Amino acid sequence: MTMNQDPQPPSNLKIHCDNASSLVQSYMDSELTEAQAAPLREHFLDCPACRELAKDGRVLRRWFDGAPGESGILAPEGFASRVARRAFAGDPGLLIPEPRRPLLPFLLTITAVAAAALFVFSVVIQRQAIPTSGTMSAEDYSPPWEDRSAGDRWAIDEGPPPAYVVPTELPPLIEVDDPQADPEDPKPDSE
Amino acid sequence: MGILHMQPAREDRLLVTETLQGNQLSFQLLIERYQDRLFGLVRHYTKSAVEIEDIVQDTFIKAYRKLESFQHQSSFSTWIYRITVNTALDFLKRSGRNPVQSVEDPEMLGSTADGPNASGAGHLAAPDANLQREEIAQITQHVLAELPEIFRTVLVLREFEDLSYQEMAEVLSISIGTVESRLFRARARFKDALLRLYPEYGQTE
Ligand SMILES: [Zn+2]
Repeated sequence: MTMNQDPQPPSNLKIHCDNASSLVQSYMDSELTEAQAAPLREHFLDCPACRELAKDGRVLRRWFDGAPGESGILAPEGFASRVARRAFAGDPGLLIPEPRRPLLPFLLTITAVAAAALFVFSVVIQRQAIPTSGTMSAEDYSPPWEDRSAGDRWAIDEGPPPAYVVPTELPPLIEVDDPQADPEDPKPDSE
Repeated sequence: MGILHMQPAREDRLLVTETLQGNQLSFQLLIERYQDRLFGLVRHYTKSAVEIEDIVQDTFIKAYRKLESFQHQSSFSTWIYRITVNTALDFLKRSGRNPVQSVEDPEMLGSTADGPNASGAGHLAAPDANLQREEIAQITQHVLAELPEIFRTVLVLREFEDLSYQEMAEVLSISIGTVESRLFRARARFKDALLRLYPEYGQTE
């Protein structure tokens, strides 16, 4: 008996119940070497909990004893020769990946996301252009994509650049119904 | 010891070589050696005989197209099992069935979807002595069908196909440690599902 896998002497190979469950499984699946199985067997002697685990494993296995096969489907007559012929004829197969089904929901999703993003972006743009106080300065009205220092330079030099004159009253981006007009009508959703 | 290692792998190797040399009959013989096992394996993914045949046929056609890349690092049987499982899972994914198989990390599944009884609390009784093998098999198939593919696959490979952990790791391209933990969770899931669907097999202590 060799202990290649574990340098420790067998007496130090104490089994702890915490890590025993996967060990018990491997034991039940005959995946342990004799060197690994021996200390576990010893542990079974003093540990009812781990014995119970092993028993559960045995019981579970019995549900797989009524193996398939009896009701199993066998390949139909001539299957092998037919498939070999097709393969040699360069048949690409029946199930070539064609992601048709997953594509539609994906397209719908990205379309919805793009629409939402566009809406948010347009609102942000609009917001940035609305004056927040009565005073107007170049800094307030430099467009969001404009370099800040450039705006400062204009403010020092000669006020806002003429290209970015902002009207004092902006038309609303979205037509909001007058709540007075029809009190029964629910307010438009912010979505 | 897995059944795959007991197969005369040398004959497989010879048939592969001859197929690559253009011998169609050798490929036919290779198919004949594996067709029934693969039909049995794919049966766990779909009930439709037509679909089973399509999947197995596609498996062999894929295998033929990739045969040059098969370098005999693993046995042909492990290799063909891998193509079969991937083809079956791929087929299910594309036909929109049981999307859980796309979740790659079973540990994630374990924490959320298992529920409080997932650790295998409660004890399972053995099948009744008066149950016919056929009846046991029917119950087991029903319970297996309830499991996500990721768990069903390890159970089928282990319990019906008798693959070793090493062979399962090769077929599923996962580590042996992952085989162990996935198998452990699969068994707990199987037990829970059996107790849920057939509570009469529960055992109170
Ligand atoms: Zn213990």
